[in-house]
Amino acid sequence: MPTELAFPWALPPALLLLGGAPILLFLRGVPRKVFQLAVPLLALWCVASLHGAADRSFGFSWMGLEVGLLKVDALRFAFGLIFSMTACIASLYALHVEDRVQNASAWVYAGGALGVTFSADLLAFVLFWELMGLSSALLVFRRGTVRARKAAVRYVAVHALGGTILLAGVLVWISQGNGLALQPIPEGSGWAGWLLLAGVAINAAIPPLGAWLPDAYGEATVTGSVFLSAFTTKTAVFALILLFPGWQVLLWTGVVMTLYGVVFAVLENDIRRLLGYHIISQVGYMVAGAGMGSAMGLDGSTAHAFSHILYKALLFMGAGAVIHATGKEKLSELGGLFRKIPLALALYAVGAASISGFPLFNGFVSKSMVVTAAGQGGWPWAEICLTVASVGTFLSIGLKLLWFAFVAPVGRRYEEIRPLPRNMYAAMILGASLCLFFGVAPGVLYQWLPYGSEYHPYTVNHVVTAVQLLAMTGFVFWWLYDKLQVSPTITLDTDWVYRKLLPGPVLAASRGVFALQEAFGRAVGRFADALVEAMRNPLRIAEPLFGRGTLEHESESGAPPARPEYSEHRYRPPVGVAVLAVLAVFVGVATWHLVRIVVAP
Amino acid sequence: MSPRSRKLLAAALGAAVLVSIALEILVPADHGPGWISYWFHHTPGFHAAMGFTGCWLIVKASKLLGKVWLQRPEDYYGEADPHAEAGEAGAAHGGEEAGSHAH
Repeated sequence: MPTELAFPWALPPALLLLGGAPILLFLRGVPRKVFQLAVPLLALWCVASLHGAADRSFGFSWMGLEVGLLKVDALRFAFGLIFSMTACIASLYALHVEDRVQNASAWVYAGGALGVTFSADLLAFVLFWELMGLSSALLVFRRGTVRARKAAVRYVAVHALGGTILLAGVLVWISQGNGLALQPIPEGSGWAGWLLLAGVAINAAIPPLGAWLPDAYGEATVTGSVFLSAFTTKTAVFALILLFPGWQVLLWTGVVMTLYGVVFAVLENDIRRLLGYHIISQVGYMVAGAGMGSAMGLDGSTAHAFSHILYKALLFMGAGAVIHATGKEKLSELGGLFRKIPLALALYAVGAASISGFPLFNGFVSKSMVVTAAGQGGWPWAEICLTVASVGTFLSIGLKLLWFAFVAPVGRRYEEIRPLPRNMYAAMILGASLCLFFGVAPGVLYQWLPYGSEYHPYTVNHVVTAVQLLAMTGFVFWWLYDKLQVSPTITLDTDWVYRKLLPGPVLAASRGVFALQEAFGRAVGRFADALVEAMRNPLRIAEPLFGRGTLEHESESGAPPARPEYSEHRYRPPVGVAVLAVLAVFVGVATWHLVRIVVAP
Repeated sequence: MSPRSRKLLAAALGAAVLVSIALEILVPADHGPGWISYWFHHTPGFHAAMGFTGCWLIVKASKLLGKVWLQRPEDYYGEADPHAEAGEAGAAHGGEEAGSHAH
């Protein structure tokens, strides 16, 4: 594999963040802040320099295998660009955080995402994939609460399972005589295809494998959840577009996802869990687009991932601002914040308008591509369901969350409102500006789309139908306002299986195994004791077998020998002589060989 | 929200829907090449109806699911209040930023 070395542009962008992370651990104060902004910017610059540079490659040999860390094409460029942009925004948002482990693990995580995106083969792909799972768990763990630690353990368990399934898929795939190249896997590839898909599906949070997402994102650190919202599910979307384009099962899975997330979000009380369910819903559009397999579907999927990462990071930054200021994260304990942090409300509203598909915001120009692809592909039911899901998005994020966190009840009192650091505002302003920019100038985004589809979002029909949907959603919100009141409850999801159903039987089973192990250990111990006791005097065993006195000399008088007491001293001389004889033979043989070596070479 | 503001809001939303339906009738839809057209693509106000019924269905269905099945008390998993059991990173309020000196 050719290796260019013109630092740093030929280096894979992932290596900048991965290399910067350990250095970040040792920096403090202003140098830390400068470094924390500079390295993601360098990574962004590095990605930008890869535009159209399909000839760039970078790799190394490992145990006779070529590991390709850098491959550039249009799809990889689009995802790499948005990942590195988000790394910049999220690093800025986390600039005030002095927890160096958290900051460094966030970079390893972002570096892992860039590594997956630009990996040239399955080996590098899996390597970075596993790295993401481990490093992102720290962003949950470092919250420091008991709940967060438990959630982090569940998160690690699910992602370890996902990574293992993916690795199993890769091994089966290779064993079937396929190479290591990352290429579309044909439908009907048997076990290999399904294992690979399952491994990716866990990271894409496809139900019923997706309960880890709201579980972990609701407990992560304020700044960590911004990183989390961007990378794991979207690298999975990248993998779906790259490896599974046109798998019909993904189309309907995606459609179900969009509605599933929306339904759970209506019930949710925790603001970040609510946003988490809308990640599942929005990723549903991307999964469906990948499943359609047409140029419009795949481009729509890519474009929507691009838009989604921006507005979802903005929404998580808004939610983080609320948590930072008030210390509360449940809608039933929030309200009236428009007077306390009005700018945060305005910036959150930009994210809400974007995800809801308001014209002039970036969700409008990308979500509709997937819906249009459904129309072009002749899936009217998919088209209708995807449209209805967008109604639910506006309902939960644009109306419910915004209203119950920032407005009602207007007079909610707080013990303390902590001021928001300026870097948090700066990051949110940057995110909001980009949401608006790509909404107003969608051509900039479309030029980076890999499959060459042509789409014009600002048609009269598209705008007026969007207005109808949004206006009627607003109407129903006010009509059913009393029904939409939040209550201090939690919502069951499939994590119930490993949080409630399995622990009892698994603990009982493990107790059974421990009891069995203990009993076996005791039995072995007793046997060993008995054996030691018996071996102290082997004659006791020999006598019943060979008859008494067989090992004794008869006395001269012919009378049966008197039974001597066992004494180890009695047997020591013969044993000693035998050992001496063996040693003598050994020394003799060794000497003879030595002489042979020395005398006759 | 006062009843007056509610009425104003409802009027504004109604006006927006009416104007958009009028525009939908006046300007024929052009979805570009390759589009397979169904009746609902040409029915003015279809999206308004879909927005209304879709939103109503989502609210009703999820509330019903929540009531009969999914919604549980907060201490269902034995972890009621995150703030009551903050780890050593400390205070519930901003405990996520252990050692933050930003303030």
